[in-house]
Amino acid sequence: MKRISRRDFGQRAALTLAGGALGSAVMLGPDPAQAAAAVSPPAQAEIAGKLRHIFALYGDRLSDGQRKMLHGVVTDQVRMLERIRALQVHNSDPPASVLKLIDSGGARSRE
Amino acid sequence: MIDESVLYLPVRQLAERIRTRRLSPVELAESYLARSERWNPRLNAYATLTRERAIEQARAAEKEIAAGNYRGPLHGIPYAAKDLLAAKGYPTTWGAPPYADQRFDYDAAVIERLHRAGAVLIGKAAMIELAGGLGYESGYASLTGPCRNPWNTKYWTCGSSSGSGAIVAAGLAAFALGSDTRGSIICPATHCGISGMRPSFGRVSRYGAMAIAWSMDKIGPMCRTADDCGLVLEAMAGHDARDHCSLPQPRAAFAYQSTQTHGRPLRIARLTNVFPHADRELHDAADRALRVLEQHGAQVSDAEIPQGPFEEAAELVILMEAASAFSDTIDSGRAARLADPLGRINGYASREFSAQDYLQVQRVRLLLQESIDRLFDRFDVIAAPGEGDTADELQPAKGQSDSDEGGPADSLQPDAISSLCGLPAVTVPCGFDKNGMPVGVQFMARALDDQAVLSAANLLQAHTDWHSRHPALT
Repeated sequence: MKRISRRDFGQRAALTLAGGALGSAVMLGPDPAQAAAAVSPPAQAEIAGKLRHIFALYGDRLSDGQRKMLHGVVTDQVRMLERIRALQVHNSDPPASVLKLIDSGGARSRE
Repeated sequence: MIDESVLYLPVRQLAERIRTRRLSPVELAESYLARSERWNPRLNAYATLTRERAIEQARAAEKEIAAGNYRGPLHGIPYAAKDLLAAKGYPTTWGAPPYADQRFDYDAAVIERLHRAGAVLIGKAAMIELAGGLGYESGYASLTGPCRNPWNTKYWTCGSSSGSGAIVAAGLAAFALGSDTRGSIICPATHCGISGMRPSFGRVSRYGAMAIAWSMDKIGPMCRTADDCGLVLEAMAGHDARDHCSLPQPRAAFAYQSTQTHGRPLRIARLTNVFPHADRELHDAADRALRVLEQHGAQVSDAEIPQGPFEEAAELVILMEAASAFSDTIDSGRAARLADPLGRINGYASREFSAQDYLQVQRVRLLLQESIDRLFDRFDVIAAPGEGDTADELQPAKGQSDSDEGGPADSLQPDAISSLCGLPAVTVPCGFDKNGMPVGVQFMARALDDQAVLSAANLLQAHTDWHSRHPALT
């Protein structure tokens, strides 16, 4: 994929949530101002928990600089997740991934 | 040796010379190989040249054509394939140090199909390591070093199909294959001033290609013209049971028509709410291109992309699926050998996503798909600048997370939207910025309406000459 800037997702979130043009199927989440604010306390706890788990599993591979980078990466990820979790989906809204039956006409090679 | 002006001809014109035996496929392959050998040390555009295979295929093509067995417009045409596509007999490094010695003893489906069409593989194009699947900060994130933009070698090509963009722009092959999970064809094609196409999801088999994100990966052509993209796509498209996401026939097949309409004048939406932070000159160039289309029969009117977290959804799907696709690279510690500091650690974070979050983003994705699809009730294609910026100067990675960088970011980037929703897109050149670097305009259409984006681009290229300009290599 092309290089992506992960700058200022709070600002993006405000734009995203303020727009609200997705249609009736998508109920918008919290107040845009809240979304634009710094990471929420639950998100902070989630970030801390994820980092603890990463360091427990892979800490011996990581320098101090890499631990700091990971803090930024995980923070960005949780900010993005908050935007997605804020969108309400209904019971009948399926994921955009489905089981497809295997076509027996084409044997899949495992070279 | 064949003159440089011939090496820059579009596939369609090369094909006519080959068909009428005014141009030898062997001489053409030899000329592109010689030019590639000369300029690759300067550009880092190739990972590997496949000289022996190229000459063998070119000789076979020449013999067949001489015997009256002309296969079609790709017969005898030399091309390069991104180095994430398996090619029997040669390394397939995925652009990444941990895979520098990797080889497969079979060809990727697209290479098989192009072989059947008579095309000549002359090399594997350099790329960003793992196509950026574990993240990267700079154009230096490649086994072969930074790929340099032929328009100015101090600048980057964009990625991850970096070499494919540089090869076509520098006239080192007649066309190239790239892959696009989220912008990896559109961005380098735009920044290199060439025509690049991301086909509808599922139309082109990914069998034999490295996976980043199964639900988003596509393979597409990067060419001198949109018309060439149509020719190459027609040869590559079609159902392949070896790719689990391959569309069934006849939906996968693509019968390209070299037209400039859509059965009626094209209805084009000029998107007014994308790239809000882009330099005005990028929007102005795209607007001028749309005025050309309007002057030649297209109906152009303003429209807005529906608001929604397209960016977040696209990036999360990629991060989540890449964490699984590269789980062995991450767990084994081999990611530590990647060139880019971010790529070395990003996978550890992505391994923390939950199944619940994956399903949530995929459910939201469907709603986003439906919201964008409604736009195509009124328009055949939607148009926007090719990118929100032009080529950057090459700079090594700083090794810092950018989470605390200031400055605004564009909330609605067309390539996130079209990539996430599997829509076809094509970018074509439409000018240059103040630094002399290419600027593009992109067209997107409803899923499976690949013909519409090509028709719009064909109309533009019939009335402008941006696509026929090329850099003076130094």
